[in-house]
Amino acid sequence: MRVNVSLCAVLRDHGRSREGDLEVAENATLADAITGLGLPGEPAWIACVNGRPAPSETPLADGDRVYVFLPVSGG
Amino acid sequence: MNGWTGKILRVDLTSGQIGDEALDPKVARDYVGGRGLGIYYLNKEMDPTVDPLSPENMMCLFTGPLTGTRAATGARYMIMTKSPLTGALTTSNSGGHFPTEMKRAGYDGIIIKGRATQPMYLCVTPGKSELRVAAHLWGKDTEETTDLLLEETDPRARVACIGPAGERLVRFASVQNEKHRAAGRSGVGAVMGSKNLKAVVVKADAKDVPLHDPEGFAAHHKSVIDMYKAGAAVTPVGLSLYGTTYAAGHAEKMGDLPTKNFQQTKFEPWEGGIEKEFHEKHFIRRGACFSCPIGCARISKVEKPEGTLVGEGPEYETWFAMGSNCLIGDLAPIVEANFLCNRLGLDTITMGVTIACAMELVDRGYLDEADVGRSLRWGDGEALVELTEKTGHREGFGDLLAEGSYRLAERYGHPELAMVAKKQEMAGYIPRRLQGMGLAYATSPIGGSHMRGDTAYFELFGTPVLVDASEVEGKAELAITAQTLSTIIDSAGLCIFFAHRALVTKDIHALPVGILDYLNPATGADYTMDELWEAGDRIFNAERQFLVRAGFTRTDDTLPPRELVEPLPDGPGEGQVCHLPVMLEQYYELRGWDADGIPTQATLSRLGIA
Repeated sequence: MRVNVSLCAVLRDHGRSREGDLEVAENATLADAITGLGLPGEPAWIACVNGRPAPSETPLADGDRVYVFLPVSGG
Repeated sequence: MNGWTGKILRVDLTSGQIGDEALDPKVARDYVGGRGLGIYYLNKEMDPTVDPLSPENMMCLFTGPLTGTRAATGARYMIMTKSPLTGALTTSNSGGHFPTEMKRAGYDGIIIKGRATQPMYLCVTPGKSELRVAAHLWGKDTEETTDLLLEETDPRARVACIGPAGERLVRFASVQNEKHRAAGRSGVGAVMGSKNLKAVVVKADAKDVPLHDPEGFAAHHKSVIDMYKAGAAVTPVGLSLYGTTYAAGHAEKMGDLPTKNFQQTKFEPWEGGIEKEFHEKHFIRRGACFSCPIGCARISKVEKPEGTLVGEGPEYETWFAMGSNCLIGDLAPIVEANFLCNRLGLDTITMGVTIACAMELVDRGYLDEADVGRSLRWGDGEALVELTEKTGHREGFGDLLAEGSYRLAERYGHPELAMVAKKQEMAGYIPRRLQGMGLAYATSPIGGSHMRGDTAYFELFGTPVLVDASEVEGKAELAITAQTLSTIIDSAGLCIFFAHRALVTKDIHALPVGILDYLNPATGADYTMDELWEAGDRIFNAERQFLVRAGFTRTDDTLPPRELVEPLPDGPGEGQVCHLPVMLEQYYELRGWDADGIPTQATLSRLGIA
């Protein structure tokens, strides 16, 4: 199945992975998708699936939007 | 005293009398500094029902015990007074270098009363402070004013001043220091203008602030900085790389970018963020406040036919307020309007959200463009710039915009279209999307503000931990945690960006252990964590007391109907409303306030507040 992955600016510009559509197995979890991205194993990153915070065991569904980011600040 | 200077400057503009006063060490310990000392003196010495623009309003400028000590981000001060925008308390914060200079000149705070008969400026040096004529500065923008004052006092002095907006009593006029740093919210600049006070200039001799235990302080500071740098080596710091500009893209991804006067969360031109384009077209270099390892400030430019304009910013709050919230996707007019706000001395959040409100009033046919004096459609960047300029001078329609969105919308028969809490415009976080922020806005002591209890750190940014924005359960506790933490940060003299990232426990409690370990060696006050947290609670309740005595009631702890009853139309939060009533009830109970939102006698006694 296909999920869409987007990254925050720092991961986009300084990570080793790319944004976009990703093919994953039918029973893939968030962890599987992240592994597929090639992000560093140490989870300084946080992920949301369809806007909700998601632990790595979260099972994915076709069409899910995954957003991976680092703790940030605004203001 | 250490950390604290133990001295306050008293200024009576009516009589011209200026003098030093000792700070009571027990008051200092109980109220910490900054916001805490500000509310202590306001509660003690002013009547909260007075007209904010009358001589009876009091204005306090307070640094914290860590300001100027070289603690990481120890660069801040608060301006505290009664706001002409909200009629409530305001506590406006700024960094840069002025607060450090004030502290090193020997003053924890400056308390200003009365009104001068003609424009004056206050010149503060160790052992000698005086009021000087400012007629030659009146009417000048903040850049020109600053340059002239440095010329006539000392090129190494620091200046906090108002521009034409403050002089003309624009309800959301700011006080600018180092030209581009803003004590932005709630019209502190108008209060200064109403007092005929054009500027405060400080020049210190000392190059540091005395510390109780310099070695202990240095050891803690080293460990904080080492940890920060180690983290930054593994993961580049977004704030350093992009400033707060990248929060726009992040908010868009999380469905929390206020768009079209808070009507929606999707803004297609900004999908994928704006930091890349901003850095390519406008960014010159980074800047930093005193003693900050992050350096989030953006020195930037915008090309105009008549030449290149240079200034600082925009910050995320300005991007949302003047950009997505007005459906303006083009970055250049936002950069230009941001520079204008700094020069004229205007709050960018209220300016942008007020213009968005006007755009909606026009869109719905409630406000005629003939009244505006020009077209005012969604997305018009030229209108943004022109109306900002007009507002700063109270010219034409700018005179109505200068009243803020609530009074504007009320005048045209639709106050519900003002996106405010207690008449101050909300910031770049949507209550329907971030439930905790809805509660925070509604209970903030200064009205709509993200900085007096920033649950968005948890709900949006994941710092120190990520919490589900849509959840209602647990948000009352979270809001209280965020509020108490912000009170401590604002009272100590630090910046929230660093504190949330590096000085708190990495859990839902966010205990400011790193702040404690700076404060004790700096001051010798020997706080326990419980005592420091309680001080935060004390200060927040003292602020609430000011509001209660000013006439605010439970009915004022509310949000616009858009946030309470209209389901979000798009994004991950689609279908949600802000469940304020249930959160508010839990919040009052946890706070130790009665059902009317008034601190109980038991709570006040526990905290030692009269």
